Amino acid sequence: MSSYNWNWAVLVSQPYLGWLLDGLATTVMLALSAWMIALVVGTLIGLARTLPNPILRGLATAYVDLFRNIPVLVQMFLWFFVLPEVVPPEMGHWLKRDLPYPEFFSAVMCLGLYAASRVAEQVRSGITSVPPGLSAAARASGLSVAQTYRYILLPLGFRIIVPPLTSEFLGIFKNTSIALTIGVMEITAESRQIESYTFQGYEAFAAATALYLSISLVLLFLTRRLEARARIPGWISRGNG
Amino acid sequence: MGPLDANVILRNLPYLWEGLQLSLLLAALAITGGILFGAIMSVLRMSSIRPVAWLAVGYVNFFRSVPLILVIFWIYFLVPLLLGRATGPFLSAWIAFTLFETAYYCEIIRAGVQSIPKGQISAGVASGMSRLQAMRHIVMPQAFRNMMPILLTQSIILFQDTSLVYVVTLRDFMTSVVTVANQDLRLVELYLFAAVVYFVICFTGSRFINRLGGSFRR
Amino acid sequence: MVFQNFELYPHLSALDNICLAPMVVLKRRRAEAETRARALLARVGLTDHASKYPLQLSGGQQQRVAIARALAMDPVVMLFDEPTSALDPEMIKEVLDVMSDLARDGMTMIVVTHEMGFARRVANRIIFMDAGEIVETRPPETFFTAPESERARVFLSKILGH
Repeated sequence: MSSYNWNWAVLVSQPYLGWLLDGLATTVMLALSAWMIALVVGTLIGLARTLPNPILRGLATAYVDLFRNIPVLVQMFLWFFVLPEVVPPEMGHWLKRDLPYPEFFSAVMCLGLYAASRVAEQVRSGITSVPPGLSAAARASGLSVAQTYRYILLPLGFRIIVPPLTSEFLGIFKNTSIALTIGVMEITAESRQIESYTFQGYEAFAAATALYLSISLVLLFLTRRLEARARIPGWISRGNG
Repeated sequence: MGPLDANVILRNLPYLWEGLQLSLLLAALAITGGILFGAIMSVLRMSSIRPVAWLAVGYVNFFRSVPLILVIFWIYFLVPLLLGRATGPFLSAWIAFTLFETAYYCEIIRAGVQSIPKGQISAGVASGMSRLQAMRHIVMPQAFRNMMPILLTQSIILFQDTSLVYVVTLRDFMTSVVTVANQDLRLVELYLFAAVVYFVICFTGSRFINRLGGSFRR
Repeated sequence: MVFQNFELYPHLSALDNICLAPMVVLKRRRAEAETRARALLARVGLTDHASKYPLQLSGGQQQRVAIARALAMDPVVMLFDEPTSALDPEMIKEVLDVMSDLARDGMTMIVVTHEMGFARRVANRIIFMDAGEIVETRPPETFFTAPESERARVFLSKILGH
């Protein structure tokens, strides 16, 4: 290891420090935007998978099967390289030229809709783990099916799946690194760029690792607080011991 | 864009097939390594010796907090430095996947073991077995049965993730696809083809797991 | 309707369990629904437990909240599906007392139950069923002393015999 010249100072010198911070900002923006798509789409799809209507249920199942069985990297390429070519020419031109940051747009759609398929599975398992007697009770007291979802099944289901949902959120953060393959300059891409400019690869990767670990720690802290708030009083989760 | 050209795929089929074989080999080796070390790690994780358990927890949490791509980069750069010579991307990819997946398999195996009620060990001990025997003959078979579907699902995810070695230009299936796509300027055909191939393999795999899951349920 | 396993909504307090349907279905205002809910809780003897969550209550208390929840919809008839069969013996009485009070106040109730003493004391009419079919329908005095069908005779001799 003697041949390697360590130089940690490179991380705090410009422009490299600026690159890392830009990367952090991009990663956070990417993850948050994708998470919003994942939550909305995932909830709708997951909910549809619990409905009695076979057509809606089938469509939702097909969505989940499709997005879960293709690697995120391939999906990334489909959004970025393939989509603009297979839509009508004007729209393709808009996707490639007029969007301010097409790589970012593709990455958000890709990560968001992929995570939606995973969120959908959580939402479905949350809803189906609500004891069936509760929706019977709600219907018996006059609530409609929609009202039963709105007041009983969704609030309870979401509380049950808070822990897996937050780990999906962490998953999105990690998957943002795949966006580097289409040229989004997030944390990992920036650290790689520092490596190729300075040949200080270990320092650069160590910095990226430290950033991801801090993001995880922050998320862990927020998760704990969220779980404490979402806890149903008196509810003892199964599987303890 | 012109009409779709299927010939480009037929022409390059042997080349793409080689890539796919490498992907499958890498996945198989990484699954083996990951489950093996994951099992060892889960034993350490459940150890009653506190520092040992903490080390295992630290390992698992570390690898679950960082992206796989970053681990691939790390190992790609680190292995030659540690060994003092170039090793080629395949070995470093295998090491990266094994290290990374060990953390995930460890948690799956641990959850499987802990899902078995403690009374099962007591029952074994009461009938004259040692704790280790009870673990081996009573807990493990049940735990393995319970966690089989999740282990396999994780393995399908692992197979999908092998596409990420594209970033260190190991010639796996995805890298072959990208090479052909750029050579013949047929991005649409090639990326759609890649999606179909991965989908068919992974979807078939997950259907198989579902049926297996049904037969495992008692 | 009152269920064997209570089926209270675990994410809502006792008070909110009672208020939900009146607010959502009958479009009552929260203040109005709460006032009524508190009155109902008082009626089932749970004034102090309004803000507790279902899983913090005992089985008997949960079932009384469930009765209050059913009452909040101003039902014409109440259905009870084995309301005491998931309860410890000590808690059965507190639920049966509430139901006896309701009966005395003139509420029409259809109760599926194995509590023969309660049925005899409170019911106006006994419907004896076996395998999903009605075997006989009589006032309680005559059902318990002189059942018509052989099936009912066997049943009564088994459960009252000791």
